[in-house]
Amino acid sequence: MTTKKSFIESRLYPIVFIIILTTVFTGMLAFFYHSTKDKVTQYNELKFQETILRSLNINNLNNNINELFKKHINILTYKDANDSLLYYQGIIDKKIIGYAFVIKGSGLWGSIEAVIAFDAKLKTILNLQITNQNETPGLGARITEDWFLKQFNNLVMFKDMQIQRISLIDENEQPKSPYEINRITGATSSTKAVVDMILKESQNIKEKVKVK
Amino acid sequence: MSAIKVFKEAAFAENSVWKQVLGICSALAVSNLIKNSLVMGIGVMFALALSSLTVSLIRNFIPRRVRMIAQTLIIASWVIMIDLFLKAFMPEVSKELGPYVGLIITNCILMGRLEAFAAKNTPYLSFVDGLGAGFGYTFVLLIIAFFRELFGFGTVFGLQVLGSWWTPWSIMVMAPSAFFMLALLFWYIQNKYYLK
Repeated sequence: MTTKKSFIESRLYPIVFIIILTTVFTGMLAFFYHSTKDKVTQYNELKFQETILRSLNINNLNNNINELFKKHINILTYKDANDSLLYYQGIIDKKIIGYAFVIKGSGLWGSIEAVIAFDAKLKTILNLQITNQNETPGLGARITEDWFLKQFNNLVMFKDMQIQRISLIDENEQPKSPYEINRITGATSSTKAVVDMILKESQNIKEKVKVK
Repeated sequence: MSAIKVFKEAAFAENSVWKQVLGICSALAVSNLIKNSLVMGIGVMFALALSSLTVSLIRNFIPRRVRMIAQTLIIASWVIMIDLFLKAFMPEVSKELGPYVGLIITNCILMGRLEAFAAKNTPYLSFVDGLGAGFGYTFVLLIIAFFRELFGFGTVFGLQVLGSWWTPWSIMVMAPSAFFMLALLFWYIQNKYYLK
């Protein structure tokens, strides 16, 4: 009898306890996730639309973002046998002002996602915004800071169909040309990851998307 | 034991960082900006207080041999729930926090306090102890972050306080400076309050 009780206490009870605890907490998490899912999805969609609008310098966002997006953005698709690409054409007063693309690259700890916008001829970067990154907080994560991203604004990426080279200089150094980008102190790898992502994706976009 | 005494002990006399040398990884990682430190600290306070409360409520039912698994499960669940709550109701704050919320799960202060205090004390006192330990951790982070941000960027809370004459000390932004700052803080606190 004693042995049986001891077996229940020492072997069975811990297993049953953990199963119950896991079920309760998993249930709580599932309930919480489902009750907040729609709200999170809705917010993410709105935030994405806002990012696309901002990247194309449509900044009068006091109006309804959803309406502005419908009014000014055409969603286009490129497709070939191996690949497909979704991109966003910005239109103001029936005139094409540029194109926005979601781009991805590899950072130090994980992937980096951004939205890059080009002018109507796909030559000059209008704007760059980092939408997702997992870089080191306080170091690589500074790739989202305005001063860093603004360095890419109005950068002519293609001259005579050739992609331009970008070099990195110290954070506090004065750039001698627009193609010298101030790297983030202590985060050279993250800075380089952003630059590599821009170069690789710009080339990819240029090869696939043809504009008049 | 009064709640105030528990809070003070957890936050200062038994501070998780300078007395028990816990939570060092995250203290080193996030302490180069005051804003990041504050955000991480507040996250730890909430996660720790709620986890302590939960462990204390069921402390008499947790079998000893699976207590670590149970504690980890409770910590992870609360951290994920806090993350979901922020994403749904405070999305801007959630965006600011970024990867910090997930990092809280790996903070050994949480396991340390659950094991040392919540597993043996009443829910109310455990909750207060969690808040206190979280506060103590935040306090250390803010002290280190103040000097690292000031000398590394010339800013405090993102506001420029040292003029253009100041040459930022790049090493203060990087991980090695956190070791020096933490060691200096340990040395000062130990000498002033413990080695008498």
